[in-house]
Amino acid sequence: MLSRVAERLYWMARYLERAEDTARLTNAYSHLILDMPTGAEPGWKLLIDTIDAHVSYHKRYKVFNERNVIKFLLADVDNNSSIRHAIKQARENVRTARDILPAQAWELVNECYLFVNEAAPQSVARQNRYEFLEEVISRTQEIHGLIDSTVLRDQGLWFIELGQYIERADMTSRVVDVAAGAILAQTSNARENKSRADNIMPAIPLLWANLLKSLSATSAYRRKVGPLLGPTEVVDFLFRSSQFPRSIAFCVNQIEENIGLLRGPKGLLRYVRNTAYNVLEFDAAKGSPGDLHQFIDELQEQLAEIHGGCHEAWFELPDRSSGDA
Amino acid sequence: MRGEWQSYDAGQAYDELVTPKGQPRAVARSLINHLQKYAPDEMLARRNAADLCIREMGISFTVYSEAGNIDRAWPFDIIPRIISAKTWQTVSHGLAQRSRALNHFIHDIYNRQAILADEVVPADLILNSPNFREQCLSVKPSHKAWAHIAGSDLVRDRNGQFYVLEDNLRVPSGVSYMIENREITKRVLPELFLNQSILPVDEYPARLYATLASISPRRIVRPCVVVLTPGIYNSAYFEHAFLAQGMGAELVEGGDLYVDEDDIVQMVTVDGPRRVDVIYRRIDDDFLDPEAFRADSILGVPGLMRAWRAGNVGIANAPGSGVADDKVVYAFVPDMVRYYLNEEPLIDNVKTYLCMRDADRDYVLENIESLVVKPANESGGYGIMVGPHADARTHKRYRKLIEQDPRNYVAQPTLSLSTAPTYCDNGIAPRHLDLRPFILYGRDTWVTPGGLTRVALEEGSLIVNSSQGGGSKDTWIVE
Repeated sequence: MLSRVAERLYWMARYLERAEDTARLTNAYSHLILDMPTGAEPGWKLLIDTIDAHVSYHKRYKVFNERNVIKFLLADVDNNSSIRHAIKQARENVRTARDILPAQAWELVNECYLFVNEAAPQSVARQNRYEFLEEVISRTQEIHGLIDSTVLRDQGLWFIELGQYIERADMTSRVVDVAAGAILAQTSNARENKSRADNIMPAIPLLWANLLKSLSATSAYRRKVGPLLGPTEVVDFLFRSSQFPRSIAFCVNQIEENIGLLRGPKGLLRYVRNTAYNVLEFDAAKGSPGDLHQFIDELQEQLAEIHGGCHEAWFELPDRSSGDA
Repeated sequence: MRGEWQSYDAGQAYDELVTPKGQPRAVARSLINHLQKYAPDEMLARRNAADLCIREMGISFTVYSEAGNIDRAWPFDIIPRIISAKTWQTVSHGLAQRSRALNHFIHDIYNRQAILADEVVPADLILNSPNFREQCLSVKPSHKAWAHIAGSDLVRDRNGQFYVLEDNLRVPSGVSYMIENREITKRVLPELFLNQSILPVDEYPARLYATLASISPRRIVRPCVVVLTPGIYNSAYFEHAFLAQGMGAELVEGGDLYVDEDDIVQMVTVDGPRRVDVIYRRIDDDFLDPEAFRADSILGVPGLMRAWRAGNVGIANAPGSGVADDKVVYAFVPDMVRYYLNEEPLIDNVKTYLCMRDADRDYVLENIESLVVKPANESGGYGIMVGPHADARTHKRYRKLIEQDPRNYVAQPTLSLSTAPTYCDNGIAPRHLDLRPFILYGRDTWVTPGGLTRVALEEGSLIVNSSQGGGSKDTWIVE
């Protein structure tokens, strides 16, 4: 397989995953806001924190209100964190790797692109938003279903999965970082400030429930852990479950497996194993919210490092201008 | 005839589906009987279905403009154009014959130059042509095949007689649309396929692969064939991807390939370098190899010509094939058929006046109002002047252009191109069309059954190019 094509499949998968995860996150958050007691809403800024997009957000908007943030996440075509941008990029990558994927994959991605382009601008309002986000999720799922049931089990698929799980590990860790951080901060705030506590404390389990929901982890959590929602249990599950396909441990295992199938460099493989080990060693019961944040920061650096390793191992083209200079 | 078909009138032109008396031709009877049953809104519904299908299949082409490049949906007319298998057989043989003669010619030009020595074709016409590439002299490609893929444009005159209007031997495009047009018709008018035997067109990618594999320097079971594209911004990118997928070949850009120290072409894969046997290139000679041609090309592969000359890689079409793709050289093709094959041409040229000849030039300058004037070296319909449709100032400007550079201009009588019923905004009306079949030439010769029908969507217009407002039709060869 051509290095260039491998890279495009990898990025196609990353962008599809990004679109889907952003849709899940926005959906869950919009629901959460509806459920929160007035005065206790964590604010729309949190979504921008999650995807780490302050710089590009402030290029366009001054205030963090619902309309601006949702528009930014859904419909802004020149914002590279928006669903619309992600789908556009996924389509560009499929368009230039069309010869490798089944013909129908292009049709599905193209239809998804046409849909998002048309519907995104009208979906900022609450009444259309839910339907739009659900449609994005089901269309991206459909594309994965097609890929899963028709693509050859060879390098092409391994690069797709590699991209998908690197992106997913990244998104899951961001969601946990920001959401758990915010909830823990609210909790300790409430403990110190008795007057607010009556307002906020009853809502805390709801916040944890929504964190699970934004990662589509609710029923999996119930089956494996139980109906009770505690900070330690939730974070532990999202980090270390070896069975839940959106947990960080699961994603890192998949990254390792695909790099292995692709016969990646030994050093890279060792690095990924080390990352997996760190995730399993993380103890959610110990430490402060600050420790969690720092751990996730390091994890994201490691994911960036893994991406760099893949790029070097497979995607780099020889420098044509080199000559003998 | 019923409904709006009753008032259908093709006028002076030969109509592909309807006789001058207004009756359906034998080959079109079943189609027209069927379409007549449709109420107007039913036709509209089918057309909308076709448009949707094109959008969803992502069939597009790119139009360059000053405002930027636009990816446009492929313009398609749902009423197919039909030719009988019997008529087609002669045309098909004529095209194969033409392709053989052209390949003999190119091989001769870069080797013995016998046809020039025998003064059948004037030597200075060829040797001073910008399409003549010295870098190709004395190269002997497999099967002496140069123009492996040709797309010849055919038109029909008032009597329905087929003529070749031009031969495209460089990087002819359109074949993917021929195949996709059939796919669309099958999706939106499936009933039409029930009672007729329509020759399938989707065999092309497999035939193309066989042709390309036949010029592989290595005799191996599955030689490595790649499609070399200038990239996503090329107007035919859709087709490049389509053909690569259809052949199970890699779609590569210049940056994916390099020539190693043994003059072998390698592509950069995730498993390291892999040897390439045959390149189906969709970029012009000029950009193919910055070492041999334009030094500023970033689309090509440095050293490619070295590898080709050393016989380490097959290139289709071979570099230099364009020497026979020139509207002046075109005029000599019937002579080439006689010279190399010792046969009479089965399919005629359109009468062509070469402005480089004094007598022809005088005639053209005098009769420019009734002629079509074409620059020898343009494609895509650019620079063409249709005398009867142009004003006096344009006539004057072209007279001047011809006098300045006679070698660069040819003229042909304005043909009344054939028409076919086309579904337009105000109902079914005749529109002019041409036909581009594709001819493959390697170890064997093969002609597509039918080809891409291009139709001028504007009333009375003769310009069928998609870059200039033309559309297309599915083309049926019916037994």
